[in-house]
Amino acid sequence: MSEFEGRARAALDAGIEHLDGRVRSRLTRARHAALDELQRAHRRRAAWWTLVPVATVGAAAILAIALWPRQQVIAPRAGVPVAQTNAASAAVAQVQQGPGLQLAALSGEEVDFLLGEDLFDAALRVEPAG
Amino acid sequence: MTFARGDGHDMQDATRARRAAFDQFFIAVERRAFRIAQLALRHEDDALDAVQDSMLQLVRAYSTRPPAEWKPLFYRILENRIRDLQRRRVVRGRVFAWWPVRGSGDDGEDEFDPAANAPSPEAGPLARLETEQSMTLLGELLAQLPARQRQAFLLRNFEELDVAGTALAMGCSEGSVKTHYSRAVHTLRARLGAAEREAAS
Repeated sequence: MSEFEGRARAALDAGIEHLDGRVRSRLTRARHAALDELQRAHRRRAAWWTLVPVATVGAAAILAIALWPRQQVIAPRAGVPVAQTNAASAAVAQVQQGPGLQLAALSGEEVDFLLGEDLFDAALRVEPAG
Repeated sequence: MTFARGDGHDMQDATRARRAAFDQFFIAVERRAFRIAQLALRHEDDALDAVQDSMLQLVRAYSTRPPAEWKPLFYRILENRIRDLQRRRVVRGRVFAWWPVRGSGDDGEDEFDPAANAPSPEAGPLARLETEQSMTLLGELLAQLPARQRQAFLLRNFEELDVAGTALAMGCSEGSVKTHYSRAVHTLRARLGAAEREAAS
């Protein structure tokens, strides 16, 4: 620190030693207000933490309700094996999504059997050439 | 439920310890923070408001941060508050430029408060006068500096923050802090020299 910096520092330091009563009193009040706020903030945070388990259970319940109907969309039809039903659902999804998706995973007979002639033809039309 | 009881006591102890740590921190910085705000705002009550708001904001937003980070964060909040008050003052000045000035002293607000008007016990009148003269001169010179240079000078020289802490408080790189500080020192040195030569002649 240079001589000038030292002098400036000394002047500023001396300045804070000579604050009048009003300023010192206001600073003390400000400090106490901040410490009271700290206490309130801690209480608020503690209250939030007690809500965490309740919120977790609630979120899990909402998620379960939201996911429940999706599992029932593809129910096996009477007389049709489960594996074939799933294959049919996959084929329907691929036809609905258009070209670029592979139909090769299904044999022609399976799809024909499950979807009928018209739908299978439509699937062949959207399949990329080659 | 021994565990729950012990846990609650631990939490209370931690809260009490944090409160004590904040108390010590505020005692250590409040006067310097007030001076810094006063030098920037040139208004005692605005400076006190800025310091109080900064203290409240620090405990609201950053009370869980480690104590080593409190000082740069506090000064960053203070600087933002100072800037807000300066902007508000400019807007108020524009809006109320035509408004008649309210008379002071006849509305009963300036009652004498012995505690508030008590002189500082630490120094005699002559020492106080010399200090006030030095502070006034330095304050005037600091007020003429660009805001970033003044900020760098006060945080580095007065608050003794290191370069990294000053950079965090100012929201800029360490290189910028060094540049601002160096320019501030050069400018202040030149202007103080000129002022002293003027006073001597």
